[in-house]
Amino acid sequence: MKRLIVIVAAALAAACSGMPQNDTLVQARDAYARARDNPHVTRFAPQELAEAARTLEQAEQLAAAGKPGEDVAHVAYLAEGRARIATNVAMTRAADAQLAQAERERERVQLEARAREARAAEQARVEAEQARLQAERARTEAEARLREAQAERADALRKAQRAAQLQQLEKQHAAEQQGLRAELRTLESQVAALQTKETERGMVLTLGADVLFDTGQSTLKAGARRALDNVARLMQRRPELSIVVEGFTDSVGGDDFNRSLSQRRAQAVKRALVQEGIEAGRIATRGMGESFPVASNSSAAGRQLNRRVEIVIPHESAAAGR
Amino acid sequence: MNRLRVLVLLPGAALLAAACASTPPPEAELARARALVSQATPEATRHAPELLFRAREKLAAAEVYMGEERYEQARRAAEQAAVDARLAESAADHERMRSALAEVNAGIQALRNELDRRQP
Repeated sequence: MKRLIVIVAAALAAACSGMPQNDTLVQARDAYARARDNPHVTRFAPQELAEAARTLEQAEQLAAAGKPGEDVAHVAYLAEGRARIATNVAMTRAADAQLAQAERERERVQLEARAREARAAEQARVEAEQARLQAERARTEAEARLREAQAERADALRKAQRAAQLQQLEKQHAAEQQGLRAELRTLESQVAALQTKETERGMVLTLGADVLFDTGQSTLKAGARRALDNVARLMQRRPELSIVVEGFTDSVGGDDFNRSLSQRRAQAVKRALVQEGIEAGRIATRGMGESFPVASNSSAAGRQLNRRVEIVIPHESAAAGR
Repeated sequence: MNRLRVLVLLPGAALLAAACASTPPPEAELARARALVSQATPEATRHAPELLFRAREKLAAAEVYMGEERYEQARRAAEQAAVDARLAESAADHERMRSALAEVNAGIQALRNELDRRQP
């Protein structure tokens, strides 16, 4: 305040005395006024501003005292310089303060950038891991499908092979059956008393009992040998064959007797074949008695047909041996 | 008339003599000016070459006045040289700080732009 009064008084004095205005002093006042009005200067360079003020006051006093213009100009020059120095110092310190703040801000932004980068990297890592897992799953599934397809192919191949084998077996079986049938027909032509027929149980060779045995007897007649030799030779040629020898009677006589007789006769046939060198295990025997007649027992011709020995060659026997 | 003139002139002469006699050699002012001018930084030389040139000229003049024992002129020249040198230095300081601040702010802006660009 005191300073202001001095300045105003000096200005008034200069004006009243009609002294020429000192240009340097005017410039000094301007420079000081600008510095004083700058908030940065009052805040950051108060001492420098005070120095400028003191110098300007000195210049004003010299001017008010009517000192020579040269003296006033010198001090005014110093005042202007100091006002401008105060301004520069204040602006420098203000910028310094802002710089510190800006550097903190830069650190904050850098931290934020790093944090965001870390988050982005983490997200990328998670996404990559998910993609890897998905790819792994897809690969596993593809492998499973491939294995399944391979298994199916192998299965189909096995089935086809089995089907082919079965077909081959059936063909072979059919061929063997055909061969057996032909042999049996040859046998039939050689032995007058022998009949062959194909049934569900297999090939059945029927020999009239009268050709083999005397009435009520179970001892083979001499003439029976020739017929049975042919059967033995067939079995020797075809070692896979097993047979069942079944004895049958007519209805004359008791049931028990007939069953016993038919059994003994079947065993007699077996013994004859075994004597020809056929393994006993290949021959089963059964006495059927008067069951399963093939003709009526009411006529002599029918009864003759019913007295018989059947040699059954089961299908499975013909197909066996492999 | 002559006496009157002598009466008027005498005090003036006395004043002048007193002034000359009372002005000591401005050793301190000169030393200060020398130091400030010789310590001028390259930044000040680059940023305010005219001011520094003026400071050097005034310092040289001050040295001459000293040699001639014109102490008042020597003091003034030294004081002005010192103010010029300080002004040049403070202007260079301000410029240096201003450009540093601008650089940091530009860096911050670049970082922010980068962040905004990467913003998912």
